[in-house]
Amino acid sequence: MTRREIFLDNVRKNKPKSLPLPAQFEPDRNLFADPVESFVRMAETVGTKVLRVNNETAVRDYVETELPVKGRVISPMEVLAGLAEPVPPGLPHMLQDCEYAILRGRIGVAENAAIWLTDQDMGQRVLPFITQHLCLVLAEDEVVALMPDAYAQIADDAYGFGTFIAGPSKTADIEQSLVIGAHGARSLTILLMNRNASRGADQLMFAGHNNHMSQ
Amino acid sequence: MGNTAYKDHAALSAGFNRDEGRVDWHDQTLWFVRQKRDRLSQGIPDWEDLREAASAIKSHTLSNIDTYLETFEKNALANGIHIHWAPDAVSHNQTVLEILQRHNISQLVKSKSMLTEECHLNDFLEQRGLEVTDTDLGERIVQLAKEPPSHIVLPCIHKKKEEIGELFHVHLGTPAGLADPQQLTEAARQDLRKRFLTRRAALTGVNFAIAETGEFVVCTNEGNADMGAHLADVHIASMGFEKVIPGRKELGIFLRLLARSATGQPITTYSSHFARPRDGQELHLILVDNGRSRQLGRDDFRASLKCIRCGACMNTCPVYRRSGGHSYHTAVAGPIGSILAPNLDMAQFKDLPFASTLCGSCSNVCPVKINIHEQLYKWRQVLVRHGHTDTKKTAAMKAMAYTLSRPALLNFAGKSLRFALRYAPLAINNPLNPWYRQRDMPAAPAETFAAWYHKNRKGANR
Ligand code: SF4
Repeated sequence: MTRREIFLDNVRKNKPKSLPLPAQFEPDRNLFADPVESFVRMAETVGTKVLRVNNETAVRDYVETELPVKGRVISPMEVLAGLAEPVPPGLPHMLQDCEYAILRGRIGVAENAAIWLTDQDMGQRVLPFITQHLCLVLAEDEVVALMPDAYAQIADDAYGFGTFIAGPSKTADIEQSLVIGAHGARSLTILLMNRNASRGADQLMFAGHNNHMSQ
Repeated sequence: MGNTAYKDHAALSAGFNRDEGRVDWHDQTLWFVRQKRDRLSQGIPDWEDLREAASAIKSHTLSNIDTYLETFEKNALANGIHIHWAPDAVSHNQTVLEILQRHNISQLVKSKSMLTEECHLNDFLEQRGLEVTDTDLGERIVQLAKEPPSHIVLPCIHKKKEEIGELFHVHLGTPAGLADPQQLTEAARQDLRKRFLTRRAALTGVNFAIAETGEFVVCTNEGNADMGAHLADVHIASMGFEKVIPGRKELGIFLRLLARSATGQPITTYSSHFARPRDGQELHLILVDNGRSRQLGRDDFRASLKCIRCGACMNTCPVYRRSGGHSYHTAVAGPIGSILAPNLDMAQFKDLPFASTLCGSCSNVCPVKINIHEQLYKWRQVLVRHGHTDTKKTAAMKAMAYTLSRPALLNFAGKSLRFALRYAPLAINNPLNPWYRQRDMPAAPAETFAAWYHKNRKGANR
């Protein structure tokens, strides 16, 4: 017998009689009145900086004028062409000196401030992790309330890799003291657009700053 | 641990308890994590329903586990993932070795995987000349200290920052006396970054495997699993077969429970879904049984396979908090470990189901509603039936059973106990009676309960 046959045989011999899958779980939605406000508040509690901007042009403006770093800036976003280096193909190790990566997220989740993005949004899978600082761009109307809402949207997506990112990389392994910047990005900034790019961009001004950061 | 003379939970706890300050710190810190879990879970109005749903999904999946495993395999293969079946720890370790040897790889970065602790993978590979670097900060620390993790989520919770500073001074060249968590973490980040960039193989654990899509999910706060996996030519993921769940919909339930229960966070920083290898990469997934099918066949202990390894039962356990993870002398410590370990080896772990007050706090916090304390109680019965109890305890239990079944004797025993407590407490609370080592006896009541009941009943009837 192959290992597979031995394995499945043992499992079959020992499994109990079949129990039904419970009816689909309907989550209680009385968690918050305004998902976008909750998303922002939750992001701040997990150590993320949130900037409210109008649209993608304002994102470009931000990168051009406000980006607080020198060094290699990498982004696959078309709107940043000329400002940020496109993601280089080839060995992912080439990204090791990336200082700032700017990526377009797909879904934001209000209950935990996680942002979903896939390998199509990253160019290289390692980019959001290996970069010293990460900036994720999201539109307000992409914020859903709960994780089940996010999975309802993702349900049939065929990505090779996808991840929810909630805050900068962190650890509390030394005596439970919170340290930001374990192995992944040392900071996360969310540029939250109040308008989706697809709906046209006429306003270039920042809608407002929110630089408060807490843990 | 390992080759030294066998010490049971009580003996190992006694060792941990010699440093009273450390025990207090350990106790309070874990209780603080438990309180964070309480705050976060109380913020979810339907938390109890979520637990119930998660528990029922696991029951369903376990009862159809062969079908789900085959579906998972089919979809994962279609995704380009190599699937391996390992009936036991040895075949798991051999599979890892074979994959590495085929690629001429002798160095491996590894993110947290309690399964590889269970299989003693590091020892196995190191004995064959390979180098393993644990990359989770806590695991790296215990690896440098040549110790096993003491907690499944907080691997070095038993260590003080000064001790970690000393380890880093020796191994990473940090200044002597440096004990600042921020600076120590930075030193580890720099050192491990070099390793991520130069190692060609990465091994990760698995939190959930999704049958319907053939993908698997790995959750970390540090980003170490992703740093390893996305830079390596070969990614190996190891999982116990009980990690399979039906679909993405179910993930939406489990990810709401996991981090809130584990560390009191709304979600871990990274919840990464691996569906296909990246271009040019090889992705292997090893399914491991190693006694799980046996546990699946035990009606009383099957539910322990629902565990999602959040660690909440440890953080809340009054015994774990005061005895430390190493006192359990097994990879998964605490209440759930005490149910899992005797399944692997009854004789070696016969002490663990007794390392509990059966207070039930573990069952109350468990996100998948495992009846942990009931299973501990049931293991005790199984162990006694198989003759695995220490003689002192067996004699005491027999005497107790004999006394409890004879009212006259019980009456006499109660009276003599009160007499002894009042006039000769040392006869009970003495070093020969191990139960009292860390305990004081209460003051003896003036009358027996029977006498009190007799008097008051009479009063009520009058
Ligand atoms: S038994 Fe329950 S509480 Fe304990 S680690 Fe497993 S899931 Fe968490």
